[in-house]
Amino acid sequence: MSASEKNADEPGGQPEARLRIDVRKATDARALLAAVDAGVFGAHARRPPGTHAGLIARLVASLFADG
Amino acid sequence: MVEPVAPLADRETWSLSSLADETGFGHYLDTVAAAIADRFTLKIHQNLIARRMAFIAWIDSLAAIDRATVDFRSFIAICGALVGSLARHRVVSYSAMIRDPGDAMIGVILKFPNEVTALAAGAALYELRVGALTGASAGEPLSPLVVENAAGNLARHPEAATRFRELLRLGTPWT
Repeated sequence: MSASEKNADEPGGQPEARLRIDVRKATDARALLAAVDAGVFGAHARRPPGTHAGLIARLVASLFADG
Repeated sequence: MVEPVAPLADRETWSLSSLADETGFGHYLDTVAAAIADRFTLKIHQNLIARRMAFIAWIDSLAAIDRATVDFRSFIAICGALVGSLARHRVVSYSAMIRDPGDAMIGVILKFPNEVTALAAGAALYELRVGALTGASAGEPLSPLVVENAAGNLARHPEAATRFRELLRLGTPWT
């Protein structure tokens, strides 16, 4: 599917406006995510909060291991 | 269609807040899609316009989460919002790199590429943090039937994204 096909499928507004990122909302979202990381996990984590691609790959592979 | 950008480096660390950046969001999605593709020998196709729309939808949906009390329910809502935002836009598709894939899971992924990727992205995010909290995996290996049911449910009922834990049989450390 091309980008133009996708745009034609999407309801409402001009494509340029719908593709514009609201900086204020993104900043608010970043603050929420940081608050969750610190408040829910930060003080309690048994492993460091960082992660890497290898861990994601193992998680996905184990989830779909029964294929 | 475009080739995806490079996924996360194997030792690269990130925080949840890095997903509020479009580049971080894209890298995370690339990493999840690459994990699926590697596991099942698939080629990834991404639509970057759709990906940006999914990112914008996710940022928008986070604005609806209550900021007054930040707790595990906020985190579950964040994961559910990620699943829902990715599922609503046709961001990812796959093609088989082997002529006659006998793996039933491949059939499910080719039938519901976007939904499977959305669910995997939400589940991986959930498991990364819950696993770090408990030291154990929150998930169990899923059969193709369970994954097809989850993906089909999500395709027919986008609001099912909020039930990603039930659909994917993920455990919880919270009561």
